[in-house]
Amino acid sequence: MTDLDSFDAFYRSRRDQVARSLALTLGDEELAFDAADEAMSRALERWAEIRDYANPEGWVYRTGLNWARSWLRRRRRGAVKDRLVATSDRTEDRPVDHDLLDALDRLPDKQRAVVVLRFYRDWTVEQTAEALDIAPGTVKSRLNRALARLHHELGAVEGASPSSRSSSRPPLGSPSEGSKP
Amino acid sequence: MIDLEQRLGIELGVIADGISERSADVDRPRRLARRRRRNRRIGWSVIMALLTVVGVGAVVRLATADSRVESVDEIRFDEQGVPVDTGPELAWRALGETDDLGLRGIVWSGEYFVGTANGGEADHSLYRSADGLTWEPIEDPLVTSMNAVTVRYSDGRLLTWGFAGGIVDDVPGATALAISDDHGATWRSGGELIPQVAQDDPTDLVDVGHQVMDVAVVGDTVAALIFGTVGPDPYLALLDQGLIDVADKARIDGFRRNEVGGSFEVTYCVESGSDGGCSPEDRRQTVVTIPELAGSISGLELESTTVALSVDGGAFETVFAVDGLATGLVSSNGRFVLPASAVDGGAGVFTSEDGVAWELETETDELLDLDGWDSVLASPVVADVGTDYWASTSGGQTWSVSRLPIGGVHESPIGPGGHLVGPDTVIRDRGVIGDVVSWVTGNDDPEPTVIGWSADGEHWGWQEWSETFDGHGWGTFAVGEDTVIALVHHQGDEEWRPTVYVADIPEAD
Repeated sequence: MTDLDSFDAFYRSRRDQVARSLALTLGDEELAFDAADEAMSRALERWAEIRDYANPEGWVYRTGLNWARSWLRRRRRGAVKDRLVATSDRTEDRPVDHDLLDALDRLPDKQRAVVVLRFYRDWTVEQTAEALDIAPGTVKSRLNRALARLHHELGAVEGASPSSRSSSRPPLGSPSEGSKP
Repeated sequence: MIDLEQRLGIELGVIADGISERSADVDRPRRLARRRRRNRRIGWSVIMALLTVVGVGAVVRLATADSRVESVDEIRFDEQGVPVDTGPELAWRALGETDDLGLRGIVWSGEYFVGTANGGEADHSLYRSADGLTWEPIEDPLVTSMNAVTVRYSDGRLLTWGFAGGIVDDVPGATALAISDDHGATWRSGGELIPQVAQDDPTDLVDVGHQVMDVAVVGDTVAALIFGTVGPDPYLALLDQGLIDVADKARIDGFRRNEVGGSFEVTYCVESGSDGGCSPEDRRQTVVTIPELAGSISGLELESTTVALSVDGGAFETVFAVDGLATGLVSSNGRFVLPASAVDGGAGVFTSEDGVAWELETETDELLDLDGWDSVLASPVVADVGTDYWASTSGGQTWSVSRLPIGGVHESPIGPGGHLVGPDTVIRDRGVIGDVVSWVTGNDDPEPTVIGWSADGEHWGWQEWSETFDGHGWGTFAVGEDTVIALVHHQGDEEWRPTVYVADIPEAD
């Protein structure tokens, strides 16, 4: 298999996953797919090197995240981030947990990136650390801070009186009392 | 019952599943990579090839994918997408090769041509010539061997600047600028740009390197347009990555860059006192490299553009952060003019009387009305689907815009065997006489294929590069009093001995 063939196969198999991870991190689908392709194009330029990485997808994710942050910074679009689930309270099969989504939205970018890679991609601490190019200890500390914050925010929401809730959105399939801090 | 971590995994998966797929086009990374290579090439040409050019890359509104030209007031194309002559072509004639001076580019000083040489290795940085062929050194204005020296003509004065690979006044990695009021005979300091990182108010991203894109002068004020690369804040990164061991009461007192893009010397206090002081035994120093701070710096392309001012040769001070992609800086009618793309989704031009207070002249996708301006010209800067550039009309009193497509997203055939991925450069001098445009073709190794000349921004004469200049290559141009000079580097010319071509400026109708 030539380098180009190898890259094409990588692109076809991993690009959407990278884009979705970026979308969850950035909250912007269009930007996420653009960032994924930009990062893939950089991977293409260095494919002979990157293909041998333990986790090339992690490199592409990080590069895409950096590109997107740069793009947002230049355009000052950070404040107008779109919700990923904006038009419906339901995905195809099930309701969306808006409380959790809101809480995720409020996480600092760096914490959200760690959460996405750990719990959406199900990467290990070490894989997450490598992808974000930070120390494993940093992953753990960001994760702890993120989870503590989510616990706190969700606990506050779920502890509120029903009348204070903005809608009758159903929570996730299982009640989350047990997840309160 | 599920815990929060499980809940996150489930919910993120649900949301991700709801994200609609986009078709995976395996060619798109290739196109993006090509465009980036070309952008880099243009970027270097701006710095190294003494382009007296500024640019406006509008986020253009090409109506349809197959429309080669959305709005062209001046340049017409035949069915093959080749521009059609509407004005006189230049009659180029070869004069011969220059000596081995390392000449990279030229500019008209108002009296003679000034050439810039490859700093560092060359004996001199600047030369002058009456005909473009015979060159003699002029006084080097800068105190030491410089790399990437360039020069431009602005507001009646020559400006030159270059990056010092060595030391300028004991400051490593500084960019020194100089001004000449007498066509290069004598020079005075225009100030120095000293790389530094933010110290007082560390934010998430800080300036970790810069490069001068353009300079202009109005009165005694020199403005420099600085393209900066921002990176992780060393302060946060140091703490975050545990590169230095600091306790809760520790305080980082300062960073000092040791070399451009290289390392920082960090001073910190491990136990600051309640009065903010630090005892000598608690003070520490360590050296941290950029890669250590940023991890693999690859993929980190966080950029910013700022304007810094030097008044009467004093130290530069950053005064303005450009909201958009600034592409050049010129003086015009006693004002600074700074075109930019990606300004609220369109093209815009910032202007300033003093360099400190800037005003966005317009922010519209409509064609700018630049009537009455006389020195600003935009060269093309790659946008997603097209490029705008601005051309003066005769006398520099009026301006008009041509909107051309580029390659990448919308590739347009131009002539046999190539795609239009330019225009590449618009070379302009003195703001009044004429423009030379070259377009590039090719995917992996783009090169100019067509050059165009216009004395008034309206009528254009077009010539195929390889026929005009006896082969493939690239060149730089300067418009003199009666002639246009081209320094053409042919393919394979590794000696930096460009061939000089000259053309008389055609008489106006």
